[in-house]
Amino acid sequence: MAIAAVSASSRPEPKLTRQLLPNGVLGMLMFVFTEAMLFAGMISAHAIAKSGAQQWPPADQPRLPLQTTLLNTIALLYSGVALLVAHMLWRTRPDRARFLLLAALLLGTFFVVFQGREWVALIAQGLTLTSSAYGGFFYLIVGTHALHAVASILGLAWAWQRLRTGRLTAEQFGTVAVFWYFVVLVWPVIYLQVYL
Amino acid sequence: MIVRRRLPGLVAALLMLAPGAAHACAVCFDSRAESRAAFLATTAFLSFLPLGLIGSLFVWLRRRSRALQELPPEEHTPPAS
Repeated sequence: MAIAAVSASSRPEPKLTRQLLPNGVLGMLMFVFTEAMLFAGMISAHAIAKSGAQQWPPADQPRLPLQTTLLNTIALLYSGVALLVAHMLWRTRPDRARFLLLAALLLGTFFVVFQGREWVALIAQGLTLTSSAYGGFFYLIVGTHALHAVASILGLAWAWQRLRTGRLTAEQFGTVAVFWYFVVLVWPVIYLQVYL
Repeated sequence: MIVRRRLPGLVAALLMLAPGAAHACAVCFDSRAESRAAFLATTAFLSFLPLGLIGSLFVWLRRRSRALQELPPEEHTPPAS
């Protein structure tokens, strides 16, 4: 016991080091990297199918709504900017950050609801998962993105609730924000590849 | 006799020199220039994307580590919970 106490007291004090990146954020980044590869695989498959097709989109299939989806894309990008500003302000101006986080949440929800309405209209026009490779790729890629968006919106809602009650930590905010940034940044790539 | 036995192998070897004409590749269903460009571009994209992602994270962490090491000791704070 005594020997142990002496050796413990003679042990040098551990240096106080600063964490490079919170564990939650690092874990989310790793997850986002794997998800980026998932989207990259789907987008690559779409690019190859598109290049091999005689006509893309097929003549008997409805055209995707470019302009309305562009507006929806802008809403999603604004949501990302709102979250970025909220992320920068949340320590110094929590009230402002709470408002911006709510704005990001609502814009994200608007994006998903708008996409849902677009899907209903396209299905009514005859574009389904099995109607053609064009429809299959559209619903697969956009649907996977929508699933990610819904999961991320739930995370944002959770973060907003915790920020409202003053219990949100930097690690929690960072983790949720990284996932939303991914959802926001991958969408323009999908729009350019699938819609145009 | 020996020539006749080796002929199929010789023909197969010659076809390998011109896979576009032979459609020898199981996945190259279309030998058009657009398809070949798409295969090439997506192969490069899928090869370099993971390297770029991991490499960017590594560079960013290294820069952040150096920036933190340059801070005076009193500015060091325990990690945020």
